[in-house]
Amino acid sequence: MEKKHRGSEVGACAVTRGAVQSFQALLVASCLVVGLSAAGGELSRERVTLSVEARPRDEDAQRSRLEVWQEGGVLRLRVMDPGRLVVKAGSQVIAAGALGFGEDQRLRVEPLAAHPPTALPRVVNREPGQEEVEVHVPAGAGAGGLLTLTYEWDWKHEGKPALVRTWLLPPMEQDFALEEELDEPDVLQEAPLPLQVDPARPELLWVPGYASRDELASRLFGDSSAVDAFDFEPCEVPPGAEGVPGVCVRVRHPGALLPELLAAMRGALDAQLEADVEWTRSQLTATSLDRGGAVALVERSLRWSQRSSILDGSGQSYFDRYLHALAAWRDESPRWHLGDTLVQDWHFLGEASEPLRKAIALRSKRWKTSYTVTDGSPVLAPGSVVGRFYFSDGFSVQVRLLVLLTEERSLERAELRVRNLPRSGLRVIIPGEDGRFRGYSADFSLVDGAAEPLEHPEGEYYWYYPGTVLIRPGDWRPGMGSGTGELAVLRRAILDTALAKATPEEPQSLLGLDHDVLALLTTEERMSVFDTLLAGPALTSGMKEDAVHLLGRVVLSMPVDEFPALERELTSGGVLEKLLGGNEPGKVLLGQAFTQKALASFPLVLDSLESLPTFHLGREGETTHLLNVPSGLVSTTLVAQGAWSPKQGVRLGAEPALPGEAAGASKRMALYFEPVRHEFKARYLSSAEEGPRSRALHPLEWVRVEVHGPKPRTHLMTAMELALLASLPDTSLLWAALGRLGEMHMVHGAVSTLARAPLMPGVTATATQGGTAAVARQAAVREFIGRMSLVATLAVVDTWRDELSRTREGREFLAVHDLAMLALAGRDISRLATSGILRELVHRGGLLLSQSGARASAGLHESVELARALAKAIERMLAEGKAIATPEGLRFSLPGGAEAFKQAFFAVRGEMAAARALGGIRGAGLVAQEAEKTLDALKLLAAESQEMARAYSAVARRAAALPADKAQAYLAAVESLRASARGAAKPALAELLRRSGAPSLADPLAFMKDAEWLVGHPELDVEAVGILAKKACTGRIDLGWLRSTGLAMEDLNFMARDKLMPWKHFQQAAAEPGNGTLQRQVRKRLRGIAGEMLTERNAQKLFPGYRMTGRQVKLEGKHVIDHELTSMDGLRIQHGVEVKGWNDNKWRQALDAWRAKQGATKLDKEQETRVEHIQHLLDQLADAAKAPRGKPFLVSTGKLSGPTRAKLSDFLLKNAPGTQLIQLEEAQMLEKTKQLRAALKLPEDLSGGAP
Amino acid sequence: MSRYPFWAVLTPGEPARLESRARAIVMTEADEEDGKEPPFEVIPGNGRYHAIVGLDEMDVGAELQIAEELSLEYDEPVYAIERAKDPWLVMSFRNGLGEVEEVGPEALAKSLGCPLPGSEETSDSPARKPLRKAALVEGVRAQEAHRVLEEDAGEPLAPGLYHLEDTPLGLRISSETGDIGFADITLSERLPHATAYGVIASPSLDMFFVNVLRGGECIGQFAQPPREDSFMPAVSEIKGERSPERILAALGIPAEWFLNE
Repeated sequence: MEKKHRGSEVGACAVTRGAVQSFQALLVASCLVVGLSAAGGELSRERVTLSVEARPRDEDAQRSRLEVWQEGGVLRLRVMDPGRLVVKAGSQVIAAGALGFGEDQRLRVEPLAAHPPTALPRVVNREPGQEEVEVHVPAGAGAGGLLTLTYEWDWKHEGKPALVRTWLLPPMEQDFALEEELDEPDVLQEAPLPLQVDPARPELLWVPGYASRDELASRLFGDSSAVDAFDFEPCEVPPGAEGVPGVCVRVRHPGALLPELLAAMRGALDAQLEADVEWTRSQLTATSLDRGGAVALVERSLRWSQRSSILDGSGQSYFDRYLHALAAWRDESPRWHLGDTLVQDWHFLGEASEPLRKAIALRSKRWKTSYTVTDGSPVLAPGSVVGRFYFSDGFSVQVRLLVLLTEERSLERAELRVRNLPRSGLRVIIPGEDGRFRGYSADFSLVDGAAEPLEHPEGEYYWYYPGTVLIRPGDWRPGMGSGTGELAVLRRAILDTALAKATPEEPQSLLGLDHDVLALLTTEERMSVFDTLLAGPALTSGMKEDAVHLLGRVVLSMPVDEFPALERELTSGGVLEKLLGGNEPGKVLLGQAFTQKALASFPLVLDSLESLPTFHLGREGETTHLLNVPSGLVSTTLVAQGAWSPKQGVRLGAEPALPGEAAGASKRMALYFEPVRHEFKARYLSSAEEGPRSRALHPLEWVRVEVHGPKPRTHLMTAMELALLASLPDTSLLWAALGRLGEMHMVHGAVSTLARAPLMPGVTATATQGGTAAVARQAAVREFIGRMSLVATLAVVDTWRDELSRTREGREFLAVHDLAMLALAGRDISRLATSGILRELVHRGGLLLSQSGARASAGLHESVELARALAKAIERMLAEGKAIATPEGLRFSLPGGAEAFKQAFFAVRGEMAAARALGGIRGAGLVAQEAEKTLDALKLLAAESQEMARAYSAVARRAAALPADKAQAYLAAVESLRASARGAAKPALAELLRRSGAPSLADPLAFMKDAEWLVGHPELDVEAVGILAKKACTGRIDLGWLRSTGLAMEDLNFMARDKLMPWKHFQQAAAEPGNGTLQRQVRKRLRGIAGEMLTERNAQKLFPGYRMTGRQVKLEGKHVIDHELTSMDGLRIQHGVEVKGWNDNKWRQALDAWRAKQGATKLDKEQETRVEHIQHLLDQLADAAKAPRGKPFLVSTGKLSGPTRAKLSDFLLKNAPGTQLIQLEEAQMLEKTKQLRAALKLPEDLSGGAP
Repeated sequence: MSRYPFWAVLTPGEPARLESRARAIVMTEADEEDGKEPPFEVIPGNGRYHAIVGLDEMDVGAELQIAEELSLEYDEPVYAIERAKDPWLVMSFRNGLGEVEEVGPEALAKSLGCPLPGSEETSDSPARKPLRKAALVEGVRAQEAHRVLEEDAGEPLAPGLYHLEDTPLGLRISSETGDIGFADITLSERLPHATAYGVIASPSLDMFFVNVLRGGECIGQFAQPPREDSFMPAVSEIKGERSPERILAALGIPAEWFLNE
């Protein structure tokens, strides 16, 4: 049985990489500490009795003192009364579960709905009267916070005050072992997007909000064109969720997921199924069940019915598997007075059973019911109940069909039609039995006063008909692209129809058009849509909200290069006035779209934040900040494209002329902002104070907005965006809009696909794979390093938004960060690089880090520094001319540019961390001269290779994370290691230095002392040093132990050069001299190694006419052979040499076992092992004999008895003809083996005889 | 899987989780940072056990780390197999403590329902069939030979394993399998007065070897084509004959016995 799940996994569902994974690695490392302690039986156990009676005593104890939790300890809980347990380390839930007693009076542990099943406490004793569970508290979890145990009583004690126990968790020590600094994330790898299976609803996946639809499609299905194969779900982010900001998706056909994702989903479903089945059985075997319980059972059944299209590994649907648990009750009559009918057939829950029976009738393949579906077919009748909506409190309402909207031959076509219909309201698409897809309008069966389901996104829809697609009102799909083939034709037809119908007075046909259709608008058509909306009453009538939102969608879905002309239109007098006069929240989307498109299409330049016009919005105590937004015509100058310098930015008085526009003096609308400050001085009295009007601002100018409130923030945006936002007259709408400014998912998803070079018209994406344009674009994407790295890195910064928002420096950094993210949404790093945003990001990050100092958490520090380093590396590469920013990303001017970029990044990381480390040492009043010298030397080395740059980065970061005195000592050890390294050992030095900086390395000083011996040893081969260094860095060898052995230099070099050398076994054998079995095994191995040594050293004598040219050579087949010879004649034929250290007895036993197997004799275990060995030898020889190699050699002891020799000859003739046997002197083999044993400090005498 | 795994861990658990755990145990921060692929593969078994197999020679020793750690999480033993050096080492870990097991890795893996990759492809799978072998032993009768061979095997001989036939030239030994194995060597070792002629040949007799054995020792080997590298004393004739056909006739062994079906 599995004892427990530990470490980083959240069930089987975490599929993450990069920074998140690195953090998980830290957690795992912490958990290993627990594991190791457990092995030694040294875990501290805190005992708590979960008993109502015991509670007061616990509370008394709790009041008197707050105990400090012992690191790596275990909570042992004696369960006497049933209840719901939650254990938290800080804010992290480390265990949760319902503890109760089953009908058999034995302890049961079940998951709590809000927590993943993997967090269950572990049962250590189920014996009645001794029931105990335990919870391991991972070392480092919630460091410095509280460990809190909460136990809410169940059953007869329900409602009594919960038992609460708390302990003080020790803070993270600034120590090597518990170093808090996050690992270096995988910033320069184009790492796959992090995904996570929702623990409560495993059919849903959490994905990063910054990802576009095609990026998600690629990540989910390995097919970036499958943008319509999933839907976003309006889910609440689960409490305690960590990592990059997420959005939730539901995959339409889970079977199409990439295998590892499907496996993760199945794993989570399996775990949940197990828990749900147990819960269901406990409900159905209970002595009583009321109607509420029956309803809850039906709801659980319907939840599983939605998983009817997800098949487990054996091809069975999860719904059918759940029904299997219910099947035992299938033919039972309604129980517990749940109904007055006696109909059987899944009717055991009485009247409440109907939804379950309908779901079985329509969704189960395995289980049958006599239930008759009366909705009609293939067209469902109006009024048909096609689903139910469940509120989170368990109350549910039916979803009924209203009218048939459309009927199509494919889901895609039906969906296109339904989504682009002007009318809003709930809509569903349901596949018919005739293979056609029909769209219907739908509504809820609500009684008067009932809550509106659409206002409850936390609720759940359960559909009876498999394949039902729900379209909520306002459910737009940005980022879909306009597609190809017949779907593009259909979109065009829908657009043409809408355009033809729309008039300024009746523009309704346009109002339902989605992004994918709007993306097909030509320039003229786009202008005509604007004219239609702006010329008529659309922006002032009852449809104004829809009209403004349509404008936002039009802007988002338009090509970047057409935006400048539209900008002129949007900011012209009449239009601007209408837009500013409206009170529609949709203006906020339009504003964000405006800023994003402006960034992508105009050469906007961001100066320092201090130089930007700053405005205030929000509430601060009794003061409310608002803005009036007047506008007016002002003079400007249009500069001809050829004379325009992008560095000067866009401003009034100098802005680029559009193609066809005459350069020279011109007029344009400018924006002004007038601060209005309301003071509420008494309960009913208030005063309004208007501040001075700002200077005239170009709509494309950057402004800075300080948002006041409980969570103050700073935003950067164009003046136009601020104008659209601030001109919302309804302050409640304004506050709501302000609160959502940081949510840019819509913008990200919308622009990233469209900003790419278009595919060739009329040809599918797949077909263009070989096309020149596509190939060139893919090549560019491959070459590009930075955008995705930067997006992912900045997204991690986003997770620290709350902490950043607490200080002015943090808010300013966030403001630039958000702008960078917006610019990156367009996949255009050149804009980012040339706009000054990167420079400002580096600057703001530096200010933040230097001013927040130790107050900032390590995670925040790390993520901000990462973002700074990446931005700075990009800037440095650009400044040095090693990279060129293009709309496709960074291009490198020299071969190996991508590697140079990485080197630059790590060098920058090193420099930043070095400055921090030195600052820390100086700040502590210590002398930093030596440390500075060391770090400078590493910086110089960093210029030599990427490996050294990585080493510099790792060392500096570790030094920066340590207390000053320890940092000083660490850097002194680094210097000693560096200075002692031979020139030829530099690659090994880089690896060892880098390893010394790894947070998981517990004692870097000891490590470096041993490393110093390695890289400074004058007689060790360079190859041996390199291999030993690699193994030391991964823990495959303990250099300290190796130093303690007495291996002769020649032997050490020989063994160290062998990558396959099992050093750990030898160390273990040296530590366990009394372990006879291990000693015998190791002796045999040493004999084999001795044979290999003697073969190499006597090669000239043993193989006249050949030269030894290789060791541990990988053969073309699957195997490795000990040596390789090359003939010295003109042919230069290579031959494999396999050395077997077997003695006469071993050969004989092996050959006899082989023969016994040929004779079909049943073999015992020992014989089977011998046969495996001899079969392996045959495989090696067969591999080695393959052309163009010549015949192989087999080296063995020369001391074989006559029969053994005859058998071996016989065996080779029959099974490996051509193999030549070479014989070593047995005395030499014995002597060498003995030497090795002595050098490795292995016992000479063994009871039971030596092998 | 293209290469021979140098090490393996056989463990209970859920494959996706095992991969995640093994990755955390084996891979360093630097590996993650460099975007290295894990140096192992998880191969799901058909029961409770699954195999984690290692393909990189530099990672020999990782199996001990993984097995030790995973054994802390499961009640069943976790096995670490190392096949980098001969003899292979199999250790079972319980609660973090390892013990050497004297069992073959592949047999163990098969018994746990997760055969190691590559074990199904062995060198005897190619089309080439081994050479056949028959023998003539002088100075022994079939009954005595049967007794000796049975004693040597430690159990009754399987029917058809050997055909023992007394002929005027001596005891002729053949097998339904086409290979009498080491019967000639065993008889010569156990019956010092006997002289055995073990013949190994290809169907066309272009490869033809006769070992002359006495007292278990090979006192002469006739080889065609001649072998310069043989570690047996070479002879150029058997019973005065120098060609395979005539040697077979002199030994009373039909040449068709060496034909493979």
